[in-house]
Amino acid sequence: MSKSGSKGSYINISQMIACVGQQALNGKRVPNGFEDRSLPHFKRHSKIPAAKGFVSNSFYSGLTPTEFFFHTMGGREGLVDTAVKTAETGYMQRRLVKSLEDLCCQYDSTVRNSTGEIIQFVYGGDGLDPTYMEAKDRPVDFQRALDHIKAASPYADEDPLDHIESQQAFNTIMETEAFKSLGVDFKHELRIFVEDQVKRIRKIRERYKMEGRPLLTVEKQLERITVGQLVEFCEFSKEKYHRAKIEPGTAVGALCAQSIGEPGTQMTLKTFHFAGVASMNITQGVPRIKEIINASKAISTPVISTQLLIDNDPEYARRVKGRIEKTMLGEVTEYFEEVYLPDDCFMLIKLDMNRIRLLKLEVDANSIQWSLCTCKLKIKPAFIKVISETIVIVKPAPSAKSSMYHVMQFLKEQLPRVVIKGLPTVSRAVINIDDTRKPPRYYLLVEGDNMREVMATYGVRGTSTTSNNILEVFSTLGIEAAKATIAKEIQYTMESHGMSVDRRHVALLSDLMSCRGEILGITRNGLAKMKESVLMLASFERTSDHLFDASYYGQEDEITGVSECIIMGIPMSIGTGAFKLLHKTGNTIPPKPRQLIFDVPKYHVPMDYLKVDVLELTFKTKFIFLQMDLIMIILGSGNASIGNGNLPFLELCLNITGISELMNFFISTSRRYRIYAESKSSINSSALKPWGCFCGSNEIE
Amino acid sequence: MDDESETYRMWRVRKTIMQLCHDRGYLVTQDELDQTLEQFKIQFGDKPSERRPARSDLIVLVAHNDDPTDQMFVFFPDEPKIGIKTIKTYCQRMQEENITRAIIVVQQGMTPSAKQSLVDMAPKYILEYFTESELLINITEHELVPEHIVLTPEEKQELLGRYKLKENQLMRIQMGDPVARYFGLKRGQVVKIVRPSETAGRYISYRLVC
Repeated sequence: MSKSGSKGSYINISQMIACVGQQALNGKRVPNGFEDRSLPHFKRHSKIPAAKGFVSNSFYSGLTPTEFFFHTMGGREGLVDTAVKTAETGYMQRRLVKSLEDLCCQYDSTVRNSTGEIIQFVYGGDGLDPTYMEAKDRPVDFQRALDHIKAASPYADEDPLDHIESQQAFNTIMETEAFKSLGVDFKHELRIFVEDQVKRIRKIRERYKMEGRPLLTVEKQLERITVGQLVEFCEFSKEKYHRAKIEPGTAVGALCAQSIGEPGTQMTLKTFHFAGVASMNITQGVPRIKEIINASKAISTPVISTQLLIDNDPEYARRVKGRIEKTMLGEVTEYFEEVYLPDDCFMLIKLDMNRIRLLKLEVDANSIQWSLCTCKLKIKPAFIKVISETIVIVKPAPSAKSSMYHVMQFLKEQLPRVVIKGLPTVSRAVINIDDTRKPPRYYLLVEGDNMREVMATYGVRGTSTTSNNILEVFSTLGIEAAKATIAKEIQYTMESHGMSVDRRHVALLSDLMSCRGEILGITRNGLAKMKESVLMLASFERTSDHLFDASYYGQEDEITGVSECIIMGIPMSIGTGAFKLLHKTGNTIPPKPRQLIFDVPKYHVPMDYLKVDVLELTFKTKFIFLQMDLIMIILGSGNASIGNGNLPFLELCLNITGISELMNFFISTSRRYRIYAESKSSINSSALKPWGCFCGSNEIE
Repeated sequence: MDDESETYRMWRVRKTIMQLCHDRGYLVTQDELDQTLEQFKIQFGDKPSERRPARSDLIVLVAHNDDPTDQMFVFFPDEPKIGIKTIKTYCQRMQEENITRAIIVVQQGMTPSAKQSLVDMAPKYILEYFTESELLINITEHELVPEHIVLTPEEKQELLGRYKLKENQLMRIQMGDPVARYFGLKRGQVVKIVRPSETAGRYISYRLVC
């Protein structure tokens, strides 16, 4: 079954016949659940394989009770992951769709959102529809097309072309008017393919010395291509190219969101994954996609990969590594010694020169003295003395706060942790060997941040240093580099899970995330910066907040996007909806506004009655806006009006004579509400405290 | 800091500054652009610890290609962290020589009040600052950074006309973006970005500085 691929894999078989293997939780061995041990069956601090979740039995030989228990622990993680994954990817897809839904191809080949802002000038860089891609992201699989033409139309009566004739024939075809209009990219690809074919014809002709003599029947079949076939092939390819051109009106955004969201649901939520190199763990799968899409500031595994100026010398690589990797004083000393003499006391640091030499560190006693002076311990140069090449002594500085002994103890504690070489933000650097090339090439993988300093390090080829931390790339190399990194990282994560996403989708997403000049995440915060429409934002998340803000600031909504149009029941401006009927009326006088019932004075409550009661309220709030009832009372210079209100409320409100009554009324309605008051309002927080309210600059909740 | 790596730093920074001036359209000789570390050592010395060269020896004055009266200073202060005092002396020098643009290359940083003073002088004297670590590598040569070309106002109008765009409908690049800082872009300018595409062609896009 496993051979045919219908069911089971090598790992399943080896678990049955050999051993089940190490059980992992969160990418680590089984943690200690009891005091210093994983289960009470083992000794404390035991680090033997069996105590840390290694199952040495196979499913056939049977598991011991402890092994069985560890196996269930590992199994449960898988179950929990699947449950979490569904929710996580579902939410991710919703956010993707919300942010991309209104992107649409226009008739001038640009991709724009509903407000007409450009996201891409040409969709995907070449204006082709991912649906029609045959080969890897390309519109025509040339080899397949040629094979098809050769088989379907043999042109038995025609003679095969030799290499010169075929090249000439191709050139003539390409000069015709129909082919001139093809995309530059596509023409180039076609040319390369045909020239490759020509080369093969030439080779075969040379091998059998077929020049200048009539060919045998068999020889005619070698790499046979006739004029008719060549013309047909070019026509066929051109046809396919034209068919693959994206149609104006295509909702490319929605396609992008689904094409990235759907594979996400299939991804196994394995957080950690060996990148195959140098035992470096990097976050993969759904968590990684989430990090990229959210534009997280602190990603869980930042890795900077650097090329070296001299990349074939392991010694050189080790030296550069020493310059980058954080090295602390404790790592290069043989011992620290507290020395107490009758008239003196100091810390003696004995350097381990062998180790320094082995690690190719560029430190010596003098440079250590320098780093001790500049570190945050603030040791004065007068208190440090270099005795010999390997011995440095540090005297405790007399201080008013603590005794000499305590300063010594403090030094003993802190000295081993002083950074003497490298970047403090880098925890580890690993030298990697790329042995696919001859001679093998060395490069560095740096775990940590601060790309700018790594790039600036002597010995690193700064121009080809990349990081997987998008915001870091943005701050050091700018928006375009960050955009490229987003696309690269999404594509890489997808590929390492065996999924291929058309690069046009990824390019569109990265273009959207970078279109405002900064990297915006596909989150509610990023979305609020990307879109203006209140209805769209309110239909996404934090509905009430957006509505309150909009009503307070009197915002308008153009109703252009997809969400707004659905809410209002209007055809949206995507696909055939992109067309608008414009009608010139000639009559530019706006119609007279209809008289409203409120414009008729006789329907109003007599003003005098209101005036008295309103004045009794001791504060000058202008707006009170209740969430549930949508009742707005405007209190101010002597008049009051109620919009969309109901009478019982009006009466209640007018009968109360101060803030305490008003607040009590609100409490008694037992609803969640929100009051917006103008900033000059005389309500202060102390007056509202008894009701558990607070008063910000202009908002009371 | 040993002399070797310090000299290397100074050479790299000066070289990037020269390229920066060249890319902004100031007149820089080819010799200056191609200067090797050895040539740098001969010209300036190789003992930075003994002030041969001191940072202040690296000072550059360049004139614009189109308008030779439009000149720009590049200052290299000696102090690692500079304050308002240093900036004042530079301003005096600019006043004396009647020059309105300058770049200050600081070793570590600037006091906040000094940064504010640069902003305050903005319309009359345009001072920009870079830290040395930003200039050790010319970021426009980085493999991830595509070619950026600044458009003239006429080209910008043509672009807006071609796509029937309002200015704010273009994609944007921030003024504080490292590439925008490199080219000294002002608000309202448009950069053309030429990205090599996956296949043979190029993909061209535009961003508005905001």
